Amino acid sequence: MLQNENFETEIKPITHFSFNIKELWQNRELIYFFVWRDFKVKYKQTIIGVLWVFIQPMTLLLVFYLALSKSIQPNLHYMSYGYYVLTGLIFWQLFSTAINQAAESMVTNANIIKKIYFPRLIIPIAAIGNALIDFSIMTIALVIGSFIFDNHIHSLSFLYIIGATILTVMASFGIGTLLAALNLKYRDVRYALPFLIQILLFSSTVLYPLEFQDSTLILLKNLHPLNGALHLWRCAFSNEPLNNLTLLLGILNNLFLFFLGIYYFRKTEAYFADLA
Amino acid sequence: MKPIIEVRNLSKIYQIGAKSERYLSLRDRLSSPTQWFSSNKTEPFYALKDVSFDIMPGETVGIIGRNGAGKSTLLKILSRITPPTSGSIKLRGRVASLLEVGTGFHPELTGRENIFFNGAILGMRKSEINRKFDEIIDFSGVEQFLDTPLKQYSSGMQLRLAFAVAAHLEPEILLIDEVLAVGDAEFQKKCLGKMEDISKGQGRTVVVVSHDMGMVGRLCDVAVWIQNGRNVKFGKSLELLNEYVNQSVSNYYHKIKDSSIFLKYLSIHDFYNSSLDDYGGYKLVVKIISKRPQKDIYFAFGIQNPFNQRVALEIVKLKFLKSGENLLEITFSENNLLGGIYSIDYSILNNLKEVIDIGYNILSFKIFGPVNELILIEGADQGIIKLRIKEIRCS
Repeated sequence: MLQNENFETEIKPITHFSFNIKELWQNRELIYFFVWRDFKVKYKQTIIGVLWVFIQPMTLLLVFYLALSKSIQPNLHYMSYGYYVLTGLIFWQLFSTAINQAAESMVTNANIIKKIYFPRLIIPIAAIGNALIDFSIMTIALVIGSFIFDNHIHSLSFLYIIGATILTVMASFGIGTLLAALNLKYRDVRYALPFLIQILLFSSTVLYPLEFQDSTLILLKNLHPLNGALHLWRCAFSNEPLNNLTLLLGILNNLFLFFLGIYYFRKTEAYFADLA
Repeated sequence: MKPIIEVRNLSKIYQIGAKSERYLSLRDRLSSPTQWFSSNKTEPFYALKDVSFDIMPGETVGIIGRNGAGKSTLLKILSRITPPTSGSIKLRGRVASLLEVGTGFHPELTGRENIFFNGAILGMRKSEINRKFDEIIDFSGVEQFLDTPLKQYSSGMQLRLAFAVAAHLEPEILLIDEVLAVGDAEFQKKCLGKMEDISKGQGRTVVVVSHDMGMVGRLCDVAVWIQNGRNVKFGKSLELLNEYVNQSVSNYYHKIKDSSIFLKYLSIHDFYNSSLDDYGGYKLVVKIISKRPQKDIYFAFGIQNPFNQRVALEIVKLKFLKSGENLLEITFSENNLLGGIYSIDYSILNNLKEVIDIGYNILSFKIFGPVNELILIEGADQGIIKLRIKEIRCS
């Protein structure tokens, strides 16, 4: 008779909170499989496939360059407006797709959630993973381009790129998991999401520098979940000196969002199957 | 030996009332201001209440009960999809659950890709899937279409592929929910065979929720009978099944009591004491109540095998029914059913078109007759009946 004392599990009502990193680690292969599936499915039946990764930011770049270049260029001290928008949009792409896909991920995978158990966090993690794949492709292209056209890649660039990426992944993961959990309960999230993403874009420094005089607005600018990381990111592609306050606020803010999202998600995940 | 599954005082409460909505939208909240501050005004509903039982390693357990009795809730808690409200379960081994065949199948992925993703979701490691890949393909029989997107498969092929993956799981505990309710008879049979192999051959513990009495009887040693969320009984599956079906009959005739003619009792003599051996005859005893004297009534009964195939259908013409209870005894001189579990459907008709009373699966019985040993050749299709050969000459 097969029995395996090593795998003793106890199923009990949920009383205490934990992040349960151990279980996630045990299921790391499943994360890989989810990322792999989504990546495979994404560009099936398309003609240009992965090229779509470039088309969206490039089109936006063109639009904003033509519209705003003249008026904004005088305010930029470290890079040309085209380059400013390009770096901004590539970074924005990571942030927005990560939030979008993570927020929708639980609802799209509802049929799986209802039928099988695995650590639920795997689903939004995989969604972020997919956004990261697209982002890596674009970043590599951007770095190569920057080398060729001599746009100030310096010794700390790689450190900055990695730091900025980690910060944004934390922020978008936090927001994404929070929305994903809320989305299962209130489908309103689905309709509010595009709106929220737009607000996040236009209140950020992705398309234009926000040069405020008012101290409340400066604080708001620094509390935007993307702005700290974006500042670090742009410093990787220019000689702009690091603004420590912006960066510090960004780190604190992104850490807070990260833990808030996971906390809410973990707290409600037991009932996902009943709600989905 | 410790039990492999220990269920203790398990309860699950669902809130019904306002919260029973599958999901809420803010609008629902806003549009009913009375509920703004009283969202807790719901009624608790016990899907399960104080359920306890033990399952020993290697046992195959059937969970039986009516619709809404709490079977599926129990299985969901066992497979950790939803947490219990109180009580606990101890599982001593790796668990795989099959609440549905082909969970996570994606129409855009090819057969090969789906095998990997589905396998991973069911808890297999990548190396494990690689190792069993050929076996899985063999079992599914969709080799030629491996690199075709799943959306171009027929539903039968999808099912076969899904079951092939599931059949190659190697957990210590396997939880299954009526997954065999779909698919053609041929394939169902193959699956049943594989499940028997998993439970009896490999010594794994299998928990099955099913309405298919034949399957429960054939596959399971013990059964848990759940009624209204309480586990009514735990015991040998055949005994419980017998009781379960008899109770179904008694519940049944309440519904049609205003009808003029109805079945009150039906049994097979006397299958439980196993006098129904391979070659002996048996008797079907039926009691029919008629409110007034009737002429030319037909009593029809059908026998199904474990694969839900109709093995036989007989129609008996009753020239006259007196008012009150009528006893009908149908005797069979010899048995030509193979060993196994069968179930009976019946109907009462007043001419050959109009049905007065009808019931499905109202009784299940077991034929203890040994199957011809030669037929137990691996993979041989046993057929539906046993032919009675009177004479064989060989010259």
